[in-house]
Amino acid sequence: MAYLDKAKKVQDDLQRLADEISTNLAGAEDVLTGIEDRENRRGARRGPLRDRVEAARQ
Amino acid sequence: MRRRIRDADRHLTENATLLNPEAYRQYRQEVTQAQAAAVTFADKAAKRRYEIISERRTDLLQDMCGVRDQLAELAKEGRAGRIDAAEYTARLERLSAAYDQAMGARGVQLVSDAVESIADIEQGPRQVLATDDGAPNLYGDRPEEWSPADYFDSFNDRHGATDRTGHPEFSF
Repeated sequence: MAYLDKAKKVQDDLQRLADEISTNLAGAEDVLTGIEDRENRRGARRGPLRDRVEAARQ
Repeated sequence: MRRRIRDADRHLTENATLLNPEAYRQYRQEVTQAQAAAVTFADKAAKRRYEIISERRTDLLQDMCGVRDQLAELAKEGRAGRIDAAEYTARLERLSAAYDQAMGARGVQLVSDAVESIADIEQGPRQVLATDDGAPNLYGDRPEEWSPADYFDSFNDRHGATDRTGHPEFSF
């Protein structure tokens, strides 16, 4: 059983890391959504300003 | 190994020598030697598979810790608004690919297969030995080839020697 116990210990360590990464990957989409929302808000704020500048030039 | 057990079994069966103490002693000795050979063989096989795990362990732990840490850093940068969506997505895809690779055939899957194999080696033959009805059965994955019950049936047929319960008088 000696080799099996040692092998299982390595497997458990790797599995814990894998679970942690998997959870973080699942949460990564939320972060991306946050970034995109922020970019959209910036774009929305910039939009009218750009329009005003354009209008002023004309 | 199987051949030695089979030879010992044949020797015993052909000569109908359960009533012959010397032949029985020889049979038991050969079975004991075969058992020792089986244990040595199983230990070596388990060791070889553990070495595969041991060789990959450090690299895999490093790779996976790297992915985990970079993922955490990426999330931090993303939340803080320090990177745009395009860069975030590109880095996330690279990390996701690295994770898939670590989990794949040369990574965690390899370790899982080796663990399963070690479990088969370390537990399989012992289970067979433990669940037998008192007699050794070292065929392991082919226990149907021989069983003590078969032998006793054969012994009864040839000698009609049974005790009051109907079992062979001579058992081991």
